[in-house]
Amino acid sequence: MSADATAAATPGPGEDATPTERAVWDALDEVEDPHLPLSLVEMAMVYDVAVEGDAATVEISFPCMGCPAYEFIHEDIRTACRTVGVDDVDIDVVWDPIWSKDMMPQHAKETLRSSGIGL
Amino acid sequence: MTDEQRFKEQLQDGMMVESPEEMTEGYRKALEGTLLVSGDTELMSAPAYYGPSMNAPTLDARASCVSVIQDELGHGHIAYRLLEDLGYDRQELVYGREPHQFRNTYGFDQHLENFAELVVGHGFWDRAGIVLLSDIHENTSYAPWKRALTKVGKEEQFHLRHGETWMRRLANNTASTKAKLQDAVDWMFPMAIEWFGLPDDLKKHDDQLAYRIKAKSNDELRQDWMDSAVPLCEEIDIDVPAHYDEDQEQYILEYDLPVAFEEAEKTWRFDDPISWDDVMDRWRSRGPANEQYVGMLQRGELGAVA
Repeated sequence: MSADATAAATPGPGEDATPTERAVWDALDEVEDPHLPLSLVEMAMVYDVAVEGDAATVEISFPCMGCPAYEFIHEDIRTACRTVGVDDVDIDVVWDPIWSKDMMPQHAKETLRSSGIGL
Repeated sequence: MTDEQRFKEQLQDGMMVESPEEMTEGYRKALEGTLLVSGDTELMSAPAYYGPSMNAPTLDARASCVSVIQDELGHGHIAYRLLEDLGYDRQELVYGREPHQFRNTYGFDQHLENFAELVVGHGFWDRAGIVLLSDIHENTSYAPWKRALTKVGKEEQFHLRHGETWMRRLANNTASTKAKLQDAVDWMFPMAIEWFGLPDDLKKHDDQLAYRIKAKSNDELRQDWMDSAVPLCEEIDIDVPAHYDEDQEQYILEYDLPVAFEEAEKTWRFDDPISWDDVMDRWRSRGPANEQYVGMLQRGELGAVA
């Protein structure tokens, strides 16, 4: 996983990310959580993106294990990757580290609060 | 010009209301009525959706369906919480009323008997909720409700997506699943059409509009609903009794609204026109699942799943 996920900094690509990995991160930042007014990246659900050749591995976690949008989020990640030319996507769902609201950037927490969603 | 007329004009000009002290009696009455129908509709969708949610075909679908129910209870809670500011008691609203006193839309007094009916509920009826609440979110003069609806709107979009996704899947799976979907649409489409109420040419007096509780008329909202529901059905080759008329630049129903509904068979008698007074009487009498659904909530017993 990337160091960003635990550091509560702005989630996103590391300094050594390739241009394609950065493009995937940007595309994932356009994918809205189906239930909340934030992107998957702002939700700090994307832990890592690795692209080798034509294939991407997207490492994600979920705020809860029984996520009601589990399937939709998988579909949306694949669609987003296709928009930047990455068709072969392996979505690796991990539970370590456990997702925590502390991973979210401050502006994301404020967006939730102003939408009436308690943290 | 009376004070009341001036108040209405100020509201039309964009004035917002923050608290009961700023309301006139007329405003308060219009707001209370709208909030009650909205809160009761959200709440009663929960027991209506419960049974078929337990029979969802995949674990992912079941998790989504259960989440929809949880959201709906939350939305009901928001409306009742707003009613508390107007002097109502939340406990009394949920537990103190007789089943026939609930003001939810008539569709949620019907038994939803299979997964196809459930996803058409998400795809059609939650869409109706979105159409009605989006207008209120964008245009209402009651500021606390406007703020609360940000969260509600986003969640309803999730319900709609779930409904549309599964309507497409059922339409494209087998002849049998498509037939189930068509059966559900056959009675649930006209139910949504009727939900938007009296046509504008029959509605002479509308306090909801005068006080800008909402901004769009019943016919405008009905058109908004058809504007996305009809193309969805055309895309998946599901028949509905409505089409877009190029000359009139609007959706046209292929029957004379309103018509009689056979509760026991869940069928509409399209060749049997009735009056809107008859519709109001039917709504006020409540539908076949009303007592069961209210009982489930008030007793906290979910009952056996069919």
